[in-house]
Amino acid sequence: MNRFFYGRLAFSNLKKNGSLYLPYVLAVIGTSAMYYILMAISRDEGIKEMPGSGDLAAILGLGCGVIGIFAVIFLFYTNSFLMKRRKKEFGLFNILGMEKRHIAKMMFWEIVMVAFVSILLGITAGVLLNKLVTMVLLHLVSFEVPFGFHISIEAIVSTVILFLCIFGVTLIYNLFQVQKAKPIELLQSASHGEKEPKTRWLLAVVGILALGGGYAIALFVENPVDVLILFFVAVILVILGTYCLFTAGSIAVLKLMRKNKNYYYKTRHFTSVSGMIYRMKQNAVGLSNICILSTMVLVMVSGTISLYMGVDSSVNNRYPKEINVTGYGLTENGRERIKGAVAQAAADMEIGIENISSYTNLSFTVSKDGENLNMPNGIKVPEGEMSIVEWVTLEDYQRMGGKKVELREDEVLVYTKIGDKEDQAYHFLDKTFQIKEHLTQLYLTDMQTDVMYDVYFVVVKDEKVLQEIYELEKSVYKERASQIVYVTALDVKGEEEQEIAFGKHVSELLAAGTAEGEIDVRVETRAEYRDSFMMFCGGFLFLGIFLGFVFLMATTLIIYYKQVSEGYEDKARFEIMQKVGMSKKEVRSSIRSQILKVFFLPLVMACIHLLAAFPMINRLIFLFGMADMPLFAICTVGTVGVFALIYAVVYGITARSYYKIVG
Amino acid sequence: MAILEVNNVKKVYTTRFGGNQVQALSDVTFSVEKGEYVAIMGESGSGKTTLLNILAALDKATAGQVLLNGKNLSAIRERELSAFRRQNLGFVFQDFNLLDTFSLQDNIFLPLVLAGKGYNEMRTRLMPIAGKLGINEILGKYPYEVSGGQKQRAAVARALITNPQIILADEPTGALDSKAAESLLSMFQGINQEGQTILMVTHSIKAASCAKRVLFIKDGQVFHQIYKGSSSDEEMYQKISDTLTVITTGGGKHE
Repeated sequence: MNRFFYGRLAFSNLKKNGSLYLPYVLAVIGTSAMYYILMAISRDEGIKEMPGSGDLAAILGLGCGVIGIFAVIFLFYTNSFLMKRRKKEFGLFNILGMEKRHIAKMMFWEIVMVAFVSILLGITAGVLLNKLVTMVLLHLVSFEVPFGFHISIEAIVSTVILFLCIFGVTLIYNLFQVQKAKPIELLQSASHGEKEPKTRWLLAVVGILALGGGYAIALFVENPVDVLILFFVAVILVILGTYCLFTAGSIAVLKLMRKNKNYYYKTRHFTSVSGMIYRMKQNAVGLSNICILSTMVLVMVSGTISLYMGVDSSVNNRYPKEINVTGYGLTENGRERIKGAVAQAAADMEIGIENISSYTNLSFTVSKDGENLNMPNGIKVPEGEMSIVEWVTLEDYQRMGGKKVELREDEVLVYTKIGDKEDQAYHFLDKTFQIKEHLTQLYLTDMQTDVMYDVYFVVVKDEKVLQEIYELEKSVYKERASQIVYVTALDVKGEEEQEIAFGKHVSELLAAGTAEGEIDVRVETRAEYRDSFMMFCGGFLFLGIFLGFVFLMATTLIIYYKQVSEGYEDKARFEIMQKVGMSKKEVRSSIRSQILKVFFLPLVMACIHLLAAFPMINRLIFLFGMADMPLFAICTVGTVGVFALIYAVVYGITARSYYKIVG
Repeated sequence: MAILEVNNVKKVYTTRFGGNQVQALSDVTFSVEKGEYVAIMGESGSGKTTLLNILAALDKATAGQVLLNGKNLSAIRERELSAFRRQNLGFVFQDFNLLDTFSLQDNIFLPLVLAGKGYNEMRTRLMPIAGKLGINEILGKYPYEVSGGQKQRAAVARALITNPQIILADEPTGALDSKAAESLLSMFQGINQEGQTILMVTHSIKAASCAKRVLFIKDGQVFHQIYKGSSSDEEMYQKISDTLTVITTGGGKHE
């Protein structure tokens, strides 16, 4: 026998099954290209030299891992579709006299061909697109560096290894499938009589509970630290709930529909309900996959887009002024030096400064239980709500325009935006402060940034009291205690470069040692912060869109394979119904309504997930400093709209190939 | 009075490429009276299935006409065709054509549901038929859970439930074992005795010998016919067998 026989046979098999294999090959090309690109960028020397690229590299590294894991699951899953359709063919070969080892040889050659072509094309596409994607990334993080065109050997090797492993495992799985099946089973497996799925109430209940738990976490957990921890719990609960509900809940609901005789025995519902019951078992997992992937795309893209769109508002929220000089535990001398350094920098650089303001402040976290301000110490967290207390002096308050009042040492004024406004006094360790008045305005605008916690601004008599409070704090928090800070904030009249240069100059002036020794001081500029934050958000957005794209591709492919395999099943059913007296139009409309229901169910479910997750994601991106809820809402709605549009187009295209098969 | 009239029906298939013409039916003329039980016999390729497809309005004749209750099938508009077939014709197929997404009961209900009937009416109609066919016990089962004979009985129930003018059966015993085939045939005779018109296409002599009249088709036309009259099934079997021998040994001269 010609030694190329199996190769040629494999090749003609692939050609014959082109409509099945083309999307699979495209998927491998797509995922391997994406994997290569992310790998290459995260290893790129040019990017490593960018300031603040540490975050970016970490984010991209995370993305590589996600795509790698995803590729394994996804390609394995699509392969099972292929195998299901091709078993009959293998059975025929078997019956016509090919032994299983011959079939194995043939399958080996098929996979070798598919792997060779798709990995080669994938890496080629990756290399070609790498430059483009890098440019998009750099644009997103607002960074301009001309990069040369270069190929990352390291990324190629790692891509080839990963995908060869995937194909290897796939081959072993397929061989095992064929090996254990009898030829007659291979022949019949495509038209295997399916049992009607049983209603699994337990599973349905578990699904509802899991989903409810996930939603409850998303809706009711308000503490940002808890949100961060519980977010993944909620994600896992929702995924679990989705799988359970799709497998059990849908069947339970459909069976209830069937029990309702008046509803069930209508032309419109009759075929679609029974068809859905029949199909639900084989499709539940596929639909859950589509639903979860869609939710992931929506959450990721809408979250990262709004983070990115909100960079300016986050930055302005965090730094109301351009230059911020913070001194820690300063004496009067230190404060004078800061004032002097700012003035001198302005003079040296001949730059105008404005909106200068200074204040002294002590800030730490307490756990507020009624009027008691408890200090969480070690692992034991006392009762109460995590809150931030900002202690300021009466002097600063009045200097910024606060009203004239006299305070005794144990008297305070309190301002809070969203916290309790009814308290009479605060008990802090062994001290008690009587609240003289709840203020309606604070005037210290630089301090009033939006954060997730309740914030209490407590105005005390003078710095002596402030110092006492600091000593108390130190007695509990020890070396973790926050210090009294002296903050000077101002704007410079000039461009970003001048802003950054000014900050540097102030920093140099303060760093120079003097007779009194060094002072502990930090100079931050809004521009620098903005750049590094942009790098962070841009990196996230890039990854969000990138992964969104990968998941979208996966969703598309799953839909396609579902349509095709359902098309082959429906073909026979379609013919029978026509023979029994259903018109072509009725059959088409009934099948269309059925598929429409089945296919838009995951999308609707994904939107419900997104809606439930909205408050939680809002709080999460709040942690990154993005406090613009309406903007987030707009971004989310926009993302859903675009996604639904793409989904509909994909549906339309695949539905056409479906109708082609059916009839 | 004739319930079905087939006048000079001709069917020519044109292959898609090259325009080769294949004549499936050259000139078929016969009629079926109300309450008759007619079997059509012929070898593979004689045009039986083509004829049945034309009678079922699944296919259109190239020339000639088919009248059901005096109504010309080819004159019915495409839109009304499905409803017409549903109301007037009942079908029994060789491979049952039951939908595996439905229980047997729902399979039987299918044409009624399409016609927009209510559940109670469907149930009232089903009960006597199911009793007669002996499928009461298995109505809730699915096609893949029952035997071939039971499937075919469910298919017969589906054909009967619309009270059709005529039942068209295409090789109804073709996929059944001899015992199931025999019981199906006696069921057909029973139904026929109650007045149901049946037209059956078959090449099983056994099946045809149950009919009151047998038409033989050869080379696209009705070649011969025999009436059962008062002869028994066994005598009829012999007659058909003889006729087939004559046909296959090529005796146009015996006509």
